[in-house]
Amino acid sequence: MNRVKVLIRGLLCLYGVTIIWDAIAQGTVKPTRFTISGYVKEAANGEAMMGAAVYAVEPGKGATTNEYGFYSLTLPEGEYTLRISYIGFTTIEKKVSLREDIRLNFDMSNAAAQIQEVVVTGERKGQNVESTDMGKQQLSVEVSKSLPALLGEVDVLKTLQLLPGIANAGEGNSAMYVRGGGPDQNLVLLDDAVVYNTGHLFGFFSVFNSDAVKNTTVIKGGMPANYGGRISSVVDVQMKEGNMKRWSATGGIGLISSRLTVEGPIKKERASFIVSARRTYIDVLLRPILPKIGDGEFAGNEYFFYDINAKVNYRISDKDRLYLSGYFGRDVFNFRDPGGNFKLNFPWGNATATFRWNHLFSDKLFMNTMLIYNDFGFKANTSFQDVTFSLNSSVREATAKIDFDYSPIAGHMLQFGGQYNFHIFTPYQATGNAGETTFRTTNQERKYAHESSVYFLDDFDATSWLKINTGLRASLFNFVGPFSKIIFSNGIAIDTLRYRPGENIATYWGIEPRFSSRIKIDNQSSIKVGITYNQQYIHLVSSSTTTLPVDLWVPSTKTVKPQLGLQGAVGYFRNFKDDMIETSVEVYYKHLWNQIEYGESAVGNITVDVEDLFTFGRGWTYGAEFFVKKAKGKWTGWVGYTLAWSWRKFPEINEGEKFLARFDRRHDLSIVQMYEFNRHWKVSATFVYATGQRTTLPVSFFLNEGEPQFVYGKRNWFRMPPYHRLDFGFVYTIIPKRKLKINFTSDITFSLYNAYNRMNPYFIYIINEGTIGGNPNDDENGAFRFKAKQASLFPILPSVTWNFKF
Amino acid sequence: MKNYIYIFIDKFFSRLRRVIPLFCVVTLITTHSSCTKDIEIEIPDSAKQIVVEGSIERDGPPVILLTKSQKFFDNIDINNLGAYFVRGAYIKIRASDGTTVNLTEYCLQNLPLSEQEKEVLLNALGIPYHDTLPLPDVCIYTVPDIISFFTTGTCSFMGKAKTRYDLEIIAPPLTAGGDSVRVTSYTTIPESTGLDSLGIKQHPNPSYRDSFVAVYAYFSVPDTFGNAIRYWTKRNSEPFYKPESGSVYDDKLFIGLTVGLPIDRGRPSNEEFDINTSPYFRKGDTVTVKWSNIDYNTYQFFYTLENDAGDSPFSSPVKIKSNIQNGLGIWAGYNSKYYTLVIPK
Repeated sequence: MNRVKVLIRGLLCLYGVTIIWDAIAQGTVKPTRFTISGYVKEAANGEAMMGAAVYAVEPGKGATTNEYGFYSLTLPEGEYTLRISYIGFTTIEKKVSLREDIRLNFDMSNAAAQIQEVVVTGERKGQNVESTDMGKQQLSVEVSKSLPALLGEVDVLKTLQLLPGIANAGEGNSAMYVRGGGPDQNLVLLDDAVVYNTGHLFGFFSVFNSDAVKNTTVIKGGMPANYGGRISSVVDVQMKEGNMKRWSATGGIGLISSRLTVEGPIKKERASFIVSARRTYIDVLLRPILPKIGDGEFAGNEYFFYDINAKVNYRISDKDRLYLSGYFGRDVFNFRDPGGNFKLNFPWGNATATFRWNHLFSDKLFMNTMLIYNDFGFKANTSFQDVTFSLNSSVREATAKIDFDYSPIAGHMLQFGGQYNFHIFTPYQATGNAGETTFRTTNQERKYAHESSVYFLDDFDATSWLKINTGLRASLFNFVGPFSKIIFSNGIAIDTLRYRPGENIATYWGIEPRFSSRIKIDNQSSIKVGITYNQQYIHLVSSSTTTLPVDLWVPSTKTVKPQLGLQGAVGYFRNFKDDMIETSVEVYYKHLWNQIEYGESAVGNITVDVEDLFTFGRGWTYGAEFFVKKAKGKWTGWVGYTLAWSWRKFPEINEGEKFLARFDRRHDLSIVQMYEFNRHWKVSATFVYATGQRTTLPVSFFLNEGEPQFVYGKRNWFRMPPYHRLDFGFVYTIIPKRKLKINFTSDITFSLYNAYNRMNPYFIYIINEGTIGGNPNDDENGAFRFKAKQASLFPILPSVTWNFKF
Repeated sequence: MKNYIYIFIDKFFSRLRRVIPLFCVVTLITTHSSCTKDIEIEIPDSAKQIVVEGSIERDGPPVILLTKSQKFFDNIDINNLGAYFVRGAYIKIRASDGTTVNLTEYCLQNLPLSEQEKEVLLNALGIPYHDTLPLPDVCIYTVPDIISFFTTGTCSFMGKAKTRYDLEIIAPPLTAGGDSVRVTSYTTIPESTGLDSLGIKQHPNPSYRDSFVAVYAYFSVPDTFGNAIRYWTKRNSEPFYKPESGSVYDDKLFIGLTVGLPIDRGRPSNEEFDINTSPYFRKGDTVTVKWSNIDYNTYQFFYTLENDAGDSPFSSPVKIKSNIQNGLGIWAGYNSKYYTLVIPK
């Protein structure tokens, strides 16, 4: 930890030096300055545009719009040409005579709509070379919609997995491992609300309905100080705001689900709404088929999921704007054994609600205040013969957050703010009835925690070639009462801990410095360096690789210490052909402290505090990421390749020896290509290759009571065969020959998943043949032996979806 | 006794695992592809370990089987079964009351038993009897006067409740040129809590009610933590079998309660599971339940053993928690009571 202190001191010194430098640079001349500020919106629907560049050509200084489309640019008095640009949109140029503070809003028209181009990123031109962002990608939802999708379900998280440094958690899974970190180390936000479980159907589909999503931003490293609470990455999903100008509806009918989105103005140019919903109907389609499969053993299975996104926004004045958005999603799994022996009703899902108030104090100072509620929970109601049993678990969070953006002068952006979260963790709480007796879980008390943080960051041009983004985040976490727990030793209760409501049980705090800089080599290339230190106070430990709803989120306590992450990265960024082709190479090293795993003999159990099953260690990951992207034109796409290592070392696992993590991927290649032939036909293809996942298989066995029992080898000693797959997508846009009264368009999307029918390994399992002590010459009771089998999930899978919009 | 933790977790996760094959089924229908295939795996070398399967019952002699762990893809058949047993070991048991015993090795081929008795003994060990093949060289270690136990019901060293038993084994080298192996362990025979009674309820599926019933165990759990149970059942004259899973439970869920819970019928491991018949008993059966109190280490051994679902996207491997130092397996003390119920026809 001494190294961390040294690092903090170093960063503080550097920050002090750069502030002085900046002050000197800006203070040598003191002309009268005025501010141009305003909002940049999409002309077609009034949606705010994040990341648009507002650039004053003459001094060569500019600003970028924030999440709400707001920009502020303070310049000396004078005449300027403002250039507003955003890839895929027609660049606007406007002459401005700056003699006073002025407010200028811009409506940008989609160039793609006019010239039929696909645009890969939602960002300004040259952003990757110009900004201090490292490991950051912003993806427009249109990209996800252009790519082939498993069973036709467009999934923004699976699109992110095609970027270098982001690995999926297995075949068809939307959970992510970013730069060798665990899945709970990703901060996944939907309109600033944390989404605790990102997967429907045990992770095969993400909870994000693509029709309701505007943009997705992922930050793999170099996390700026306004984000915190996780040590690997940020996935920030923004919902659409709703069309301010006209009513419209979009939807689709697919193989397994259908979607409908309605949006429109409540009051034109002042208030709008969007409601988007989808539901699967595989349960309805399979209901008549299931009893006919096998011996009818699947007849009682029923599964469906649905989700609803809704948002309203109201522009009270030019200075104030309100947003209210929410998400509600549920998966429901019902099982009823045909004979009535066993029944299970198992619903789970997330809910989020975000209220936001944007306020402009001045042309330079923008405030965003948020009140957020989010939860994730599951229930399981079962009955076995005449015994009934109900189990529930949840994580709930209430958040108050305030952010300020302050732009004192062109090329200088300060952000500061604070956040408070109140967490409630409900572990497995169960009640049951056996006849007239009611029983319930003991030792499964709720856990309460306060988490607060303040941050400050400064993104500024130190010189024409050096841009720095530096910041500090201070965080505090308190695990508080009421709480009680019985302490067991060898099954015998030896003590009971009791804490009063509000009583402090454990406190952790930390200073988290963040630093990144861009050194511009020329207009087309730059070098970036970044280092970030993060603390994570809440944790999800899973014995699976996927997002199982039964996995528990737990707070830091006396036993569980906060996870700490220190990441350093260096990157070279170069664009070609007027930013049409973007390339980058990034290398990173990440060290992770207080990592958590289940102990080697841990078995999930509703009668023990799950933290008593944990064991703690550390991890380190390193790698290089190569990325080439063609951002616009008829032919677009990218190639990403990652070479990486991910290590773990736990004193109580693998006899204390270091081991490669389950998701250690030595090579990970993604090739994504899209081509637009004409107004009707668009074709896409993706190819992925990944080194096989690691797994722990038995190396020997022994007999107990006549049955063989496994003895496992070293942790993750076996690497499964590599994973590779080629998908094709075809989109045929139906354009009415005659102009209709309503502007109705539709398309048919064909996807071919796993085109060459590769049997990719999903997991390896063991079966046995014969009888222990059997006669080797007997076919029926022959010699006993084990056999390894590889299970694959998805063979070649065609799908078709009809999408419409009017 | 079916631990309800298992009822939920086992049944739920087994259903969960069935969701995945469901995908396969759907895709099979559409594509005629196969979801699984054999895979060759090269297993790294690992040292052989000594495996203890030992028990001591209240009012019974200690019995120990000593075997060796085997390389994963090795075959076991009637011809090489004998080679799995560790012969010529020195075994000493010391009770906390100060008494000790050195165990004697008995091999099946030398036992003064009839062929039929040997067949019963083999089956009890889970080994098939082949009347056309020579008997495997299966050996056990027990008290020197075991014959006395069979003839008079008593012998020189028998288990007592609330007594700890320390085990020391010195076995010959497991591989040629190796060193002899010393393993130690201890177990305790706890006090018995017993059952209040057994009862029956009708089968939940009306189609099976004419032939099958569910058997319930009614019992009171003390309000002090630390009690653990293991159970077996037998029908009529068949041997005792443990249920497929959930043969052990601890008392955390039922502390201080009197409950009645369904008992799964124990059955041989090679009997295929049928949800409508396997857990149930037939009308007219005479059912005997062996209900044993065990210590916490023994509970943990069987609990981890029964909950290892291997490595998959939905689970991690579970290392079986053994109470054997420098070896594998279990040295278990049981305080058993037997309850019989005749199910009316």
